[in-house]
Amino acid sequence: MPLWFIRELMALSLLTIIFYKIIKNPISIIVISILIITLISFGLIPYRSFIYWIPVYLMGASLKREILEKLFIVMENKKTLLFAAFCVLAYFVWAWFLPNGIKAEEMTCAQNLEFILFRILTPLVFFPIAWLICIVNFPRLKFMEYSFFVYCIHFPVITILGIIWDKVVGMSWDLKFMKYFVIVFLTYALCVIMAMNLQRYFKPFWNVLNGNRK
Amino acid sequence: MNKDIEKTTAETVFLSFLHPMNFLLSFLIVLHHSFTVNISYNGSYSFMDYGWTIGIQRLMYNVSECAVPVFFYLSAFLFFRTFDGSIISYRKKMKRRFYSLFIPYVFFCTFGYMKHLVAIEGGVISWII
Repeated sequence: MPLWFIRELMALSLLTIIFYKIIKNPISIIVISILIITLISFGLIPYRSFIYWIPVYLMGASLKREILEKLFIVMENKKTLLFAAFCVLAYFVWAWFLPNGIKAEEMTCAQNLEFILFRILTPLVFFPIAWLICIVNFPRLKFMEYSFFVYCIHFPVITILGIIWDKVVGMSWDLKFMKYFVIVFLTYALCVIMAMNLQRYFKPFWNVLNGNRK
Repeated sequence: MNKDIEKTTAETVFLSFLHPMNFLLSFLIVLHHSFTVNISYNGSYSFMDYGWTIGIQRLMYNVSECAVPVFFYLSAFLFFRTFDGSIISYRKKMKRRFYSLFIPYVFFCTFGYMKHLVAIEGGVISWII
């Protein structure tokens, strides 16, 4: 189950008081992050551990309103925009070069380091995308409100749709390509439909499932 | 006073991106788990060594790696945005997290376990279909 993210988030939430003290001192953030990155590079901290994500979590925790304002002003400059666009493109090209699928115990230090650096730089690369969404005033559509539910339920839906596809359509090589995109869209659509019906007809139960999110 | 309003506006504008961003990230998560072939790194970075089916799915899989770090980053930002370091604030936050994270986690894990028993190879549904 991909819900390891929720489990690790709960662990990180419990350590709030400690993180609150750490983020008051930027040097602490850097020292702790370097230490954790070093341990990760040597394969001592697994991907699905809350410790692995402490550097990224501390980055988010230390993001302040004032920094946001400055970033917004900086993003309005054309040269900055071009540079940001180049960084986003370079990031997506870098994604191809990630050595995915290798067993954790077989990964080298360089491969572990590549992965953690990729993940640490990700929020920085996503900031221009977030800024773009704000500027374009992307509409808030109804189906966007069910992201948490979709995240929680998508895995079994993918499994079941995959079984149905294999039984009904077959497993020829050419169809695997189509299967991928059909399953992605069908999964999201089904999860949203389930969410909408649960919200409409079983509201108290929906509130529990959705964690009281609005 | 005006500076405070401007600051609030910048933050409000920034937070208005949350729903579309959450949608994009959850879509990437679905993309990340939907691959239909073995997309593991085979020692080569040449796209031609993978072919279109594996190559495209591998690229989508790797690009969608970005979703989890952004989720952690945003979670931290939203959590600490309204946390003042006091025990009262900490208790309030933990109570909210209990309902927003722990309860759904327990329910969906139980559901996932039941799905594993019923729907996977050898289970009841696979026997029927």
